[in-house]
Amino acid sequence: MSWVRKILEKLIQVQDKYYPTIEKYIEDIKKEEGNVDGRCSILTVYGPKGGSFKLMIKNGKLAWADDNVKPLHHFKTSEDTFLDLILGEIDFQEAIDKKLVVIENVDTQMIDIVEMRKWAKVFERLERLLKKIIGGDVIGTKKNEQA
Amino acid sequence: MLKIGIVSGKGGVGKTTIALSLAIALSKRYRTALVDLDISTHNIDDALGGEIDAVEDYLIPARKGNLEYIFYQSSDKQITWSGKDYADAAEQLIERTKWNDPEYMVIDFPPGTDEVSQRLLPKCHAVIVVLQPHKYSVSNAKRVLELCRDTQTPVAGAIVNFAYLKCECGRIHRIFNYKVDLGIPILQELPITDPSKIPDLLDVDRILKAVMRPVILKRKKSLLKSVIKEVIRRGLI
Repeated sequence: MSWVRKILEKLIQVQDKYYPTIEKYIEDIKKEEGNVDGRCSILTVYGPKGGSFKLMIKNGKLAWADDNVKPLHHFKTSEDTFLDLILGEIDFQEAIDKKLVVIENVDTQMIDIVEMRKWAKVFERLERLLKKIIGGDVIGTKKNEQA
Repeated sequence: MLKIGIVSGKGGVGKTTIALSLAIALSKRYRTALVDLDISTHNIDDALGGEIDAVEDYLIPARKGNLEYIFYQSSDKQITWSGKDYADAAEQLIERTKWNDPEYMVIDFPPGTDEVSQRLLPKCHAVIVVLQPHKYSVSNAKRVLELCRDTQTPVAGAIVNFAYLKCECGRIHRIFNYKVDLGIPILQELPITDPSKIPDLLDVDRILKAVMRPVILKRKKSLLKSVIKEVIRRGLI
């Protein structure tokens, strides 16, 4: 398992603790729309020495992709770019523009700004979370150090 | 829902200020939506703040009271899309946003007559042209009106921004002193003032009245065609 994947596992765990609830308007829309399962996208992250992992967005949060998901869009990127994304060194829009994230299996030739916003928001959240972890705000390291 | 397009031939004439002010003024009476179609240089978020979310198949607009608004939320980095990409994204901002049944939608178009305007202007119920009273602004406003004519988009009229300066002594100075003649009604002339005062200065009733009764600009008649027709009618050739 690559070290990027290890960081990610930790981030996903902390993310669930830090953002435990689904925001109300997300629930309202899900109720209203009857859980539109068809509309999702997958991000596959490739390691430098082979191997990859797949991610998706569930309830506004980053999650490991289910095997049975049929994505509308398939984004692909490298671990290096992925790291830049979660560190906020580059944003999702810019990564797509610079072809650091490529889109495959797209039915239409249209830029899907809804899916792009979903991913951009997830990375913005992860960046904030990572900074909090480094600052010791999330897992209580600061507190422990002080103790 | 009535879609009101705010357009200008030239950038920097106060189009976004007018769009924002009109949306704020309308939202005091009606459920109002504001759309910033200026994808790469949006300013609505600078003025109102807020974040855009995306859930399922929708974008979730930011909200302030009766006003809900959407813009393309991105970083300050340059966007390198084609004209078609911009138009696709602009169309999605309107069509794929989860609106709360607004009565009016104010759409702030990018300046000029690019693909976004070409594709989305005809979907407006009425268009308001914003300009300043000087040569370049008027000349570019005419180009936008040509687009409205070609696409048969209804036009409500024009708002002349920076039309005058009201001096502290009470006198009105027409700084530019340039005659605006576009062949469409001038809905209002606005002074050079603090932009935050514009919502209260706008004559919303007059603007809405014009929006309800827009005009479709007639296609220009070809003089040459008329001459040839007349020559043939008279049997001269």
